[in-house]
Amino acid sequence: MSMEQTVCNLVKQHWNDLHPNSKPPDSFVFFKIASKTSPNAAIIAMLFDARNRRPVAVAKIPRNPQFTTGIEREYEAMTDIRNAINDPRILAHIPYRGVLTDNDGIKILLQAAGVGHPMVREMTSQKSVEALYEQILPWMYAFHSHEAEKCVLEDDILNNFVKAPIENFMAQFGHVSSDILSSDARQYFSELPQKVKGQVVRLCRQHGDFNAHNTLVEYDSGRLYNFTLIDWEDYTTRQLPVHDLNHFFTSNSHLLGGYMKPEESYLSILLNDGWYRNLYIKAIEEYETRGLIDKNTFFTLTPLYMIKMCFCVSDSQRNQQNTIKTWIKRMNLYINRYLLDAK
Amino acid sequence: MTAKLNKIKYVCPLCKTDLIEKETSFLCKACDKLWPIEYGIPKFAESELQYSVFSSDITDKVTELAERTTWQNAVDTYAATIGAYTYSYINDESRADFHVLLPLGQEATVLDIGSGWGNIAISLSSWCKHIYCGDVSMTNLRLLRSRMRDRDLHNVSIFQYEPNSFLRLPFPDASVDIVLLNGVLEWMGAAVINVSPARIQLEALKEIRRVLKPEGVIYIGIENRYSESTLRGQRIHGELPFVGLLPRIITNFITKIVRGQEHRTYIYTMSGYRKLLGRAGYKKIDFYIPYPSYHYPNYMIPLEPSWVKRFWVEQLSVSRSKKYQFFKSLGFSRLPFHWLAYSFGIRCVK
Repeated sequence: MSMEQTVCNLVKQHWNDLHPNSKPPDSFVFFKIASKTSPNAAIIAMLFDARNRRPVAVAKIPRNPQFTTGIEREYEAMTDIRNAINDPRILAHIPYRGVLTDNDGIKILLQAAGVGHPMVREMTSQKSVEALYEQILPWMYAFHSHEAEKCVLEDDILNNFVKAPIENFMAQFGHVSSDILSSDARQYFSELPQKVKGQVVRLCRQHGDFNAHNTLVEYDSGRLYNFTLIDWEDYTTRQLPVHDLNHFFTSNSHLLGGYMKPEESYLSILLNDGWYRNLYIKAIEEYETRGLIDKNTFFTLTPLYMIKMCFCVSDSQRNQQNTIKTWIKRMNLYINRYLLDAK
Repeated sequence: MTAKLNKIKYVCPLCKTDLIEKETSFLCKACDKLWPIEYGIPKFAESELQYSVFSSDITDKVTELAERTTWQNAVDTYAATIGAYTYSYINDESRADFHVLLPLGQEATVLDIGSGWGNIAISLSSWCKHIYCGDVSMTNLRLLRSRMRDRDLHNVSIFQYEPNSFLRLPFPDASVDIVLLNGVLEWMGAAVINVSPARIQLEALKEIRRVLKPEGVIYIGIENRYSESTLRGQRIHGELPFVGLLPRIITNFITKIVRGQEHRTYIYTMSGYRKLLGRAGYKKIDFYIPYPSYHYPNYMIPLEPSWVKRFWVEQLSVSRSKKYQFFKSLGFSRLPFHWLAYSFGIRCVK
């Protein structure tokens, strides 16, 4: 039996986990869609209700059946979201229903399908980006504020969320030449724990890869009326509130930069003054208003987001080591701008 | 020991009699022919075709370095000579993702004809009982052997087959569940024998059908003759631009004048493939559009039902180009644009 048939049978069998209180379709259409290319990532298939022509499920099949960390992480995220979040306004944009099946020892993740097309396609002008962000950012604020845990950056919290990532980063990447990791950046990281010690932040849930490729949007008569955030395998339940917001603005700046190199678009679109930076600062101010983190602490902690990205892209799930340099270049640029502003 | 018991016993590619395995060769008692084992690889061939992504002066060095150290080390050492695209092409295991459409499983035996760099075989090895990799280049097979050794894969067997004859496989009748022909069928026509490429391709498909078990499946990844790329003049398989669009007789005439040799790497339209496969005896034939190409099947767009490809254009495409928006506004997604697809993924049942 092909994986195509196996997955169709599994969806039928677990229909109630995906779409409770509805009847499964008589037949499905299986469509293998794009996914990450690393040897340990998942192959993704979309299943349609053959009669209604609508996507009803997504199946994530391990490319390497011995390596299922990614889909297990995503299933844990779905379970946590299902159990911990009961606000329907937050849940409405997350495909949290699903099941991790074990088919003759091969784990396959089934999820209710998110509907819409990638937001990337709509990011064609300042106006369209502003309209998208206007709807998506308030959801992000609500998601991050939900049960966020107030704490002071000291002792274990400072160690776990600030000192340890820096130490790990320096142990793994500190050997690179100063052409790659600037001396300013090294100095910055050596002083960072002391600089933020005693600051109050709220630890919160983070999607981990919140960007335009992972956001599906639905339009009606040219107006955005729904969006869904997919790909939750980098989800964390307790994290500094600097990751998602920075990632959303940083990785999307590359899309707005046309043919620019990622670090060039980061500098010219996000770090240099302009409409996109204004949008970014407004979003940080909203975090401050909601008591997640104050603006200065957000800016000070932002390089920790780049540190996390260096680890993310080098993990076996992604296997994108070739982009580490880009993240370090962005880190240097960010720290330059930060130090200039501080003067 | 168990793995060995599970393996298929090779037969003589010429007379199909069971071969007797000796230390350095396979003996066919019926033909009284010895098929040598070179570098641990059975050589069911009398001639060889050399092809590589590495230039000819480097290929041997890469192969020897891979045998002495590791495949990855050898490829990385000479990576600068092949460029980033080719480097990714020979490393990327997601190129085998079409396999979700095939009836793999722990009991399935797979034959990968023209296994090249082995990315596909490596990826499939964890999804089947045993995979056989055949190729026409001993150098490539040696590299492949190093790669399999490094990955500690014990369910992969490698053999060389003859490029300059009709395809003759060293397998008994009805012994294999799945055959892969990814980017290979077109090259089969280039065999140096005095027969038309179409006939060579037909005979190859018949030979594959012979070794397939009942209900066995063949998967073919191949270019479309009248694709947007060929219509724009892209050179496919090193042939002259546009010439492949003309009737074969004219194509051959022009190619002979310009290049001094016939056009041999035949590719077809969808109906051409359907006819060829039908003549070879295959029954259920399903077409897919591998997007962006069969080399990188990120999407495997089924052509049936037809609304799926429309869904793909309207919902899944990430293109932000004005050209895309323009064609979309014209209702392009409703047109049978698959006629112009770059390539096809074809799945057929014996």
